Amino acid sequence: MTESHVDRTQAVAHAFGLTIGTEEFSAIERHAAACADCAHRLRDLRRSREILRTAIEDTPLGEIEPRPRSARPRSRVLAAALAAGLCLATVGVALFRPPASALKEKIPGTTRQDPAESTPTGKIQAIEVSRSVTADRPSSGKAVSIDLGSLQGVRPGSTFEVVRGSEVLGTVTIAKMEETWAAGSYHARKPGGESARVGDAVRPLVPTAGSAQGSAEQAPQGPGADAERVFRSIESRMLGAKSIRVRYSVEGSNDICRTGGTFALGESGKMNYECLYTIRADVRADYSTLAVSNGTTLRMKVATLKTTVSDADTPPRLREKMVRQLVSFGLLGPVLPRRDDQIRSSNGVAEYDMRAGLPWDELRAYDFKRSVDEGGSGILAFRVKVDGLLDPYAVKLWYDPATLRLRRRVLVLEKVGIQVAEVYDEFAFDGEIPNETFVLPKKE
Amino acid sequence: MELMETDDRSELDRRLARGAKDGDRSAVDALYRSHYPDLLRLCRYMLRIDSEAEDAAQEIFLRIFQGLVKDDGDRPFRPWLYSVARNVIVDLLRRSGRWREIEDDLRHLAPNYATEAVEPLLRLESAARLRKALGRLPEAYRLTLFFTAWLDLTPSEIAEILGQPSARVRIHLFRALKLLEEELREP
Repeated sequence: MTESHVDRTQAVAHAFGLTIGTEEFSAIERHAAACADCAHRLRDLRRSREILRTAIEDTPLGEIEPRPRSARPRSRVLAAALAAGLCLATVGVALFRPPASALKEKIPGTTRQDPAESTPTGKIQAIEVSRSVTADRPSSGKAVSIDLGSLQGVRPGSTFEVVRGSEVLGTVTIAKMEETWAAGSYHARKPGGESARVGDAVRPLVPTAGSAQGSAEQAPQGPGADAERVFRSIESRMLGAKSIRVRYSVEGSNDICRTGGTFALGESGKMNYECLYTIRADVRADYSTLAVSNGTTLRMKVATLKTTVSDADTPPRLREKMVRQLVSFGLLGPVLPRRDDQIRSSNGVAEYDMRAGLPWDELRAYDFKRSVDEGGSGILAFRVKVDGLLDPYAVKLWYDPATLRLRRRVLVLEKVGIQVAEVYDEFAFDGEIPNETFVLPKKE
Repeated sequence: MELMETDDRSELDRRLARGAKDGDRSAVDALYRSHYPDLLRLCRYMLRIDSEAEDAAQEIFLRIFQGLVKDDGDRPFRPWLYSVARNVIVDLLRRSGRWREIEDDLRHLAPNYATEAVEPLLRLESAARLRKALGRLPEAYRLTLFFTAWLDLTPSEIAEILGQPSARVRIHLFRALKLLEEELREP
């Protein structure tokens, strides 16, 4: 500052707040109080700053640069808050951002969307395993198609009641099974009578390595075939179920975050997914994700540091998508690290870029193994890979051999040291789920 | 008065950060409510993609709350918040090829053009023109303008956020204003 006036650079710095807390600040203010010229200059400079401030405030999005084609909605997860990120991303990625090419083809031989859509139709209630499947009226003599009849309990001699609503139309008995696993063809006959074909070959939702897209899966052969059949059976059981209800909890390997929640899958595109997570370090925070589909609308309510609510049309084939997720990766499945060049480390914490979402079309399951633990649970080990990922996930799935209900799942990505255990505290097929479960949550 | 408000806010932030560290959910909420709007504005202003800006703001807060676990709770909150924000934003821009490096050696720049550089703002008739000019500035200068024009931070806080000495912050500001004036001269 000169004796007579405030230096021009000092004036700019002063107007933009760069003299606050310094001796310069008081000196300039004192001078401006006594000098009209400098006071006027400072006023103009402050007005300029205000104009700039307004421009910053009003900077519209998208006006200057269009959204880059590659920048799909993204979520990035800090490993230390894995569960939190998983929770946030799971349903959003799985439901809102599947590749458009995913599930383009209708799986032959099934009517798994909504039994009410295929008419005339009844329901075959599998007496032995209490599963629900769909079928044409058997008395018409038409082929009876089973929505993934499921291997478990389906064997020659198995008897089914055919019902529509509460009306029992008759019974059918499996007369012959051409294959010994779920993707085969079945023949049924009414008691004492004619044979009818029950079900066509079924293309599995999760292709195994080397399987051809769009064609019926061949029966697994060679090492691991038995384990792969179990995998198919679980997949089939889920698809054939009238409902699936799950209560689960998750423990990340770093033990900082805890995640758990519930999942309910009904018919006709109805779903309720809730995930709560708590950061259990010195700072505690509770966040939640709720996704409810009433069959037409899917509402996401995510409460992190703020609560956001978003609506979308219920995605087509919601049931298939969720079953595919549940059987392969589990409820936290869509969170997948991408290639190595997208995995970076900052301040010693690994981060994962998952902006591309989960490329379902590239999903493959392979390397199946099967064993039994001391408690009688079946253990299914397999790997799941997605082309484009450097490393596959190793999956270990504990299940009840009698009912095919899941008990526990461990996902391991060895290279980057991620291990997530998903424990199914409750896993029920075909239970009654109250209608309120599928009522959209309030927006407030 | 400005000094007092700044001090009050810093002290309030410090108390809230201590509370958040001790697990006080209301302190976490208060910190979030207090800083999220400005933080989101910064992310939008720099990244210009709504979803990316929201993700970035969430990530910044996540890092901050994780950092609080290790923190003694006494570090000035706002400079820390915006230092993290700057790092996240610069990293995002770099990774997407939207960060332009600027001349590091500023010694040759005469600072006395600063006043003239600001005066055209007063004559501007189109706010859109100013926004476009802002959008064409190198990202480092846009950051400097945000921290000096939008936020009421002290020089030492801005210096800490930008990782530069206070004197250099001034030069950065002058340079940013000069470039802005040149952009405004463009038809």
